[in-house]
Amino acid sequence: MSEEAVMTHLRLDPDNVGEQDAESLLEAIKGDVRYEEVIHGCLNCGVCSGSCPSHRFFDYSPRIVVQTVLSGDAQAVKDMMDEYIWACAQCYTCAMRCPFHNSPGGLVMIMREVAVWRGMEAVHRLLKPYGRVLLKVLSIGNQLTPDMIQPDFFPDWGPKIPWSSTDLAIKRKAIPVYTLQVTTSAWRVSPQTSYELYTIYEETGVFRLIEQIDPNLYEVVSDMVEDLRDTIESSR
Amino acid sequence: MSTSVMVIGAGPAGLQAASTLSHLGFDVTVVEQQQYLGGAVARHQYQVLMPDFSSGPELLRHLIERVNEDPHIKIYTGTSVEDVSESRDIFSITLSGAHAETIQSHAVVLATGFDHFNPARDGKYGYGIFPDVITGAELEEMFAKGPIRRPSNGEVPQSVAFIYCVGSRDRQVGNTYCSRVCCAVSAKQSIELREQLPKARISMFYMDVRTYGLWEDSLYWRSQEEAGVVYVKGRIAEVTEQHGRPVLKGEDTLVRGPFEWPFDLIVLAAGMEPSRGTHDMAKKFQVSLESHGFIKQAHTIHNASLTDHPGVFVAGAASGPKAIEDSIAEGDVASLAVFDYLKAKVTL
Ligand SMILES: Cc1cc2nc3c(=O)[nH]c(=O)nc-3n(C[C@H](O)[C@H](O)[C@H](O)COP(=O)(O)OP(=O)(O)OC[C@H]3O[C@@H](n4cnc5c(N)ncnc54)[C@H](O)[C@@H]3O)c2cc1C
Ligand code: SF4
Ligand code: SF4
Ligand code: SF4
Repeated sequence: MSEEAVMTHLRLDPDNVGEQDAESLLEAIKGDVRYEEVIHGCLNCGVCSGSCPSHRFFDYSPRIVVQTVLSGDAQAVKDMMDEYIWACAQCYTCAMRCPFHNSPGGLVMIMREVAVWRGMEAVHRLLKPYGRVLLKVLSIGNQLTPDMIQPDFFPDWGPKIPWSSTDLAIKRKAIPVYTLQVTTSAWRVSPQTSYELYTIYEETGVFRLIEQIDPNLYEVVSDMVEDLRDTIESSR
Repeated sequence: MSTSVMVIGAGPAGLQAASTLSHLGFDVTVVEQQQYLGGAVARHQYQVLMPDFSSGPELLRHLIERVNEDPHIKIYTGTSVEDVSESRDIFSITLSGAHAETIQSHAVVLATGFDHFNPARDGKYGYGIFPDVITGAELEEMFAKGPIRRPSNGEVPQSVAFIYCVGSRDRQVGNTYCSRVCCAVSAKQSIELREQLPKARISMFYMDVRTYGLWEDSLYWRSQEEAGVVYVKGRIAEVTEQHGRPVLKGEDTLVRGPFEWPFDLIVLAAGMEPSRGTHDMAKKFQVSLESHGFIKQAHTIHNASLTDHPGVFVAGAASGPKAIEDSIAEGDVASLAVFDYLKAKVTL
């Protein structure tokens, strides 16, 4: 496979980070390899919205997302990427019911990825609460770790959570799999693995993206990367 | 030797074909698996017919009397086709059931019709779970039996909803075609309901209203103008139940957005599928099916009744969803095609 083909498949074209021209956003959505699988046309029937938990409670309709993308009105699609599509809960009930076998939730996922990749304004705001998750992903490739499950962060998780979040070290030891006995990551991650991860993030432009979306987080991450690289390289 | 033609299926299409074939000089055997004649019209006791509000029982009387009184027509009810062989353009057909014998036929008309889509196959409608969710065919039976009541408690319904396109136009259930008659039949039923329920709220939940041709004003417009029926554009996503009443969930795509709306009675406009008998006969007589599973018309435009097997013809809903008027017309089309096919081969 040529290098260009790899890039197209992943849709991670580092040259496009920050590109927010409406037409080019729509092009990126329609050019996604999944696009033809998630949208075949639309009967405008409303089954997706009627099934959608977010439609019930927010000013959000998956049918309107599909119709707007199909209309080809790039500016309207761009406006939608700012706030509208972020009400989707990604439950995919719409996809289970759509009589055309569309997946409006899948379309929303593509739109979100494009919004993130292009560093759209909404993403700075909407991804703020995910800073902790991002940091874990960037540093060790895990997204959720035992020590993140704290009642402060999940006020809606009911009465059992405070119990689950205490004495983590002992509870983890009860799990009879060696790699699961850490609490700051989901499994043990060797420094060499992180080292390789950082190289991938750099090559694919992920670090540039983070720099654009969340400069503070980027600063934390760069320090971390630098330290690890020094350690690994000096021990060789 | 006389020239004999077998008609399989005694719905409107088959009964019409039998009578016309006899007029054209053939000896006809009608094979019907049920004990009664008249197909879906008899099975569900349609009282008032779409589009002209004429009488269903009268239509049946007319179709059935003609074949009963005709000395050239033998009627075999309670009978099925067991086995078919063919030699020098003559079909040797072995029957089972009430008339277990073997018959030689020079041509065959398949008028094996449709089955209703069973809405229990699509869980979102709650059919078979909530007693107040019924099909259009069951509503026809209710009209025949007496006043309309809620199955759950026997009360007079104060609100009735029709859900369109149940089992049609839906990849999820595997039927991507339109069943053609259910919009118009639902409009007809709503007008009939209004006579019984002067105060009830009657709402139609549709994706498109397909009362094509002359049915537009006589059914769709009339249901609004005369019967005060309300049309809501939005396909129903799910039926649930609250306080003993079915609740429709959906999106009013034009006006009001999301809704959860309780009704006393829900009527599912369930579509048409090729009947099991249609599939069985297609196999036994070696005719192809088209992509939706109906019998394939070899030359759709040229002649509606030709299959891809010489000597085997099709009429009515066996070749696709259609109304009674078209099914009866195709009974004649098939008879003429049989005549055309046989006149070169045998002397009448
Ligand atoms: C709810 C509802 C209401 C409707 N109301 C109207 C209306 O008001 N006006 C209108 O124009 N149309 C109406 N229709 C459509 C109408 O029912 C059909 O157009 C018509 O019944 C088709 O006639 P047919 O003879 O092709 O098939 P059918 O009526 O289906 O008859 C087929 C016959 O073949 C028999 N058969 C099947 N397989 C075999 C076999 N292997 N061996 C022997 N016999 C077999 C069956 O038992 C049946 O008797 C309605 C449809 C629905 C769903
Ligand atoms: S995936 Fe999104 S759009 Fe689809 S039903 Fe769930 S919340 Fe609604
Ligand atoms: S359910 Fe499918 S066809 Fe219907 S409006 Fe939604 S995307 Fe369009
Ligand atoms: S006739 Fe109407 S209700 Fe029936 S499948 Fe077609 S559009 Fe749907």
